[in-house]
Amino acid sequence: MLAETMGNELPNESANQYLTFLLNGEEYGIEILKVQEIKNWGPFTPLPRSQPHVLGVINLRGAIVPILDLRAKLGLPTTDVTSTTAIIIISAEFDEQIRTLGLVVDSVSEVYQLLPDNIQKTSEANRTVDPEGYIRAFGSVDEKFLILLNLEPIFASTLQPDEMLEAANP
Amino acid sequence: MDDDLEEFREIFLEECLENVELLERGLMQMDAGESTADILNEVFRAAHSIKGGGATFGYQPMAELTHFMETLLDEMRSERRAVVADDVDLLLEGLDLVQAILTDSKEQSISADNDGRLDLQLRLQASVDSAEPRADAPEETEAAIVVEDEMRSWKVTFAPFESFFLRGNNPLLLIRELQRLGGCTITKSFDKYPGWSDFDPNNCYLTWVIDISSTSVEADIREVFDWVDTECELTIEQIESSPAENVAAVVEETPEVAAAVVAPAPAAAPAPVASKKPAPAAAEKKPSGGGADTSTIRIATDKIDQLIDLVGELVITQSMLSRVCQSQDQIDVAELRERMADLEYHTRDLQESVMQVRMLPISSAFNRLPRLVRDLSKKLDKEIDLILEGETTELDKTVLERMIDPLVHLVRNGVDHGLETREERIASGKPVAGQLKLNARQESGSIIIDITDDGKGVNPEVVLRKARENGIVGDEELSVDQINQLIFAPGFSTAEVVSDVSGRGVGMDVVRRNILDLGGRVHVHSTLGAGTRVEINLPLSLAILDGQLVRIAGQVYVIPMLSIIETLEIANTERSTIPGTGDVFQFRGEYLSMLDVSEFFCLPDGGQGELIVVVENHGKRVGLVIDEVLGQQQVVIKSLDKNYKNIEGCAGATIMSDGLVALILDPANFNEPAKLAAAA
Repeated sequence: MLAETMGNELPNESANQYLTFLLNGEEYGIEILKVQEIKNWGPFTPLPRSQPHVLGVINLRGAIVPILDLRAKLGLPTTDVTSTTAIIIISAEFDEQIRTLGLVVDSVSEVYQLLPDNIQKTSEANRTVDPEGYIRAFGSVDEKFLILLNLEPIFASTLQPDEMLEAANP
Repeated sequence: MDDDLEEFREIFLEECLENVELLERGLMQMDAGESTADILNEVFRAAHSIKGGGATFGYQPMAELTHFMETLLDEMRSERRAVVADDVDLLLEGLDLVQAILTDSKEQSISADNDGRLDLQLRLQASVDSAEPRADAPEETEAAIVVEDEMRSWKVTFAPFESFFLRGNNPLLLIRELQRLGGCTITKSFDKYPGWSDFDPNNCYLTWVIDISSTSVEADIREVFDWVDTECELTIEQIESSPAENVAAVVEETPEVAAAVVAPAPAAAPAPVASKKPAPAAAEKKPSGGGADTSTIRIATDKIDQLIDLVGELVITQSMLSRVCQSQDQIDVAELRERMADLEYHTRDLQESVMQVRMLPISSAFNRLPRLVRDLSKKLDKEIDLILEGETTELDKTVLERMIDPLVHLVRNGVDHGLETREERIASGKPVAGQLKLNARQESGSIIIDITDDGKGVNPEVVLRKARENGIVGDEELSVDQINQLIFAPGFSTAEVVSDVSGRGVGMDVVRRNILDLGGRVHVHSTLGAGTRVEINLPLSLAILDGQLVRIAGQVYVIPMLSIIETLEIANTERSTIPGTGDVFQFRGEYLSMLDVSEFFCLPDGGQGELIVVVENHGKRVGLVIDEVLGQQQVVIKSLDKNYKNIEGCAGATIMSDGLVALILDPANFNEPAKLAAAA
């Protein structure tokens, strides 16, 4: 929803822009319109009985914002925090409310403009390696290969009440 | 445009509710025999405003009903009739209906009983007609009535200003209202139409000339335009001799004429549409609100002025501070400290003032009780003295709104179960009139409301027997105090007969639930034969709480001060392990179960568990095992589910002075240890 409303006012190319970041050596991209800001790594407060990928919450100018370990969410091996580790603050609608979430990444990379020709939607076959549908499409720019993430299932699996999660994966 | 109208509608509804409150208070005073001219005038004005607004915003039933009420009140006001209890009863009944209509329109539903309204209107009219004139009634009354019955013709020229629609007015409704006074012949004029090039569809260029033949006097006609008198030119002239026969034929056409007149101008569209639009608009609003109350609050201007002053001070302090920090030489530490002290002072002032904005006197909740007690006293035939104390005690608006139902319930319960019948009271040597006292006061960081009756008190034997019968408790021994609290258990009722007043055993459970949800506590004290006192302990505000900072497994947590009873050193307590229920410890002669917070939260490091904080949990006491007690501090409550979701055992989070987030524990929301053990 956010992308739609803003897309009307901004030049069309913003809608095709992606912020990319590195995770375990691969370059991932998310729609730039959903990115609110990028923060340096800092202390956080762990949450009790949370899912493994929910690291905890941080104070973002008075708002309580959960931060997620994107490596853990995507099933990648864990790594130590380095000087490039950053938190990408995402703002998007979930369950009829705008939610703000932080994604912890190895490092922030670039902003690319991707034309529809450069984006290849994931096929059905991809579902076997990515059953939750975290990957939306693959993109290519300057001979580089990008994995474009689908934020919806990441938000859903994080924000759904515990009972619903337990019901889904008993 | 729709938004504008919606906005006005909301203001109107708010005002109506205020007027309803005024009316109720006035009527209660009249009922108590205090019918001074001031009270009567105030009551009349309130009814009149509801009627005027109702007509303008298209709440026809409400306008009609208040019209009849107003007529009766007018007679009383002008001393043409005495104030009698029956009439006050009728007016109160009318008030209830107005309230029902208002609630309906706020919630966009229709449940108000229309037949009941028509019936009540007839009874009100009958009461007016029956006119028990006062012996000392002014002489001219008779003459005035005769004159009013005469048919007269009026020529009304109604020329709204161009900005008429912008204020959310609808001429059609006014014209319809006029038609209710008598037969109308309506002609329209486009004289003010400026031509297409200058035409602004938001403006009103129409003028109406309405010939009306009616028994009404000029004031009645003027009253129709009461709400718009600053937004139009209005002339009313009387015409001699009316062709009364023609009127009937014209009446048939008028609605179409009026509609046709309004329709051609596109500008008129917003107003008529408004009557259909609100429903979807309101429906859209609900989900986005996420179930939260989006109510408005009225604030005295001086409170706002004070806030502006304080913000001004804060800005000055801030600029002083930055000047100190920017100085080229060594920073003057003494001055810096001084400015920091100023900053702290202003910040605290500002915080207090901002909190004040949300505070309302508890009288707005207490005000409904006299009426309730009056009705109950009639229904149950008990004489009751209601005493209200501390009505100026201020409470957070949300807390106040959510306390109304519990208060009503407790008062109802006290009157029904607590106070005895006349005969019983005489037999036990008490005054015939039972006493029900409500007292509100502030004690340190919380608000205490006591509801005391001098009735028969809670009989612990009966309560225990009933609780065992209903399977609420087993055969264990309970102290008298523990038994008294059983009346709050779900499904508990001692009433032999379930009446529509109370006795279904749902209410008290809900009362406790509501109070717990607000972060408060409720406790019953009772002496058999001498009375009952229900003590409610509420937080001052929902946004800020007095917190005890504690450390558990290396993390700082906040426990609300209000729920803490005592803190003990674990080494000094007598502990034992009971298979199946976990650890218990002795506290003031009672065995309480221990709950290790680090275990409950599955914290990886685990705590050393040096201290036990005894807290109240669902009316039961539980010991929370923690590592260390830190300072006490006021904390601002932030919701976790805004960006995340609610966590069991947490009431929210707050931001500490180091900028880190700390979780606020919610003792009422900790699961029973047994259930937890089963889950783990």
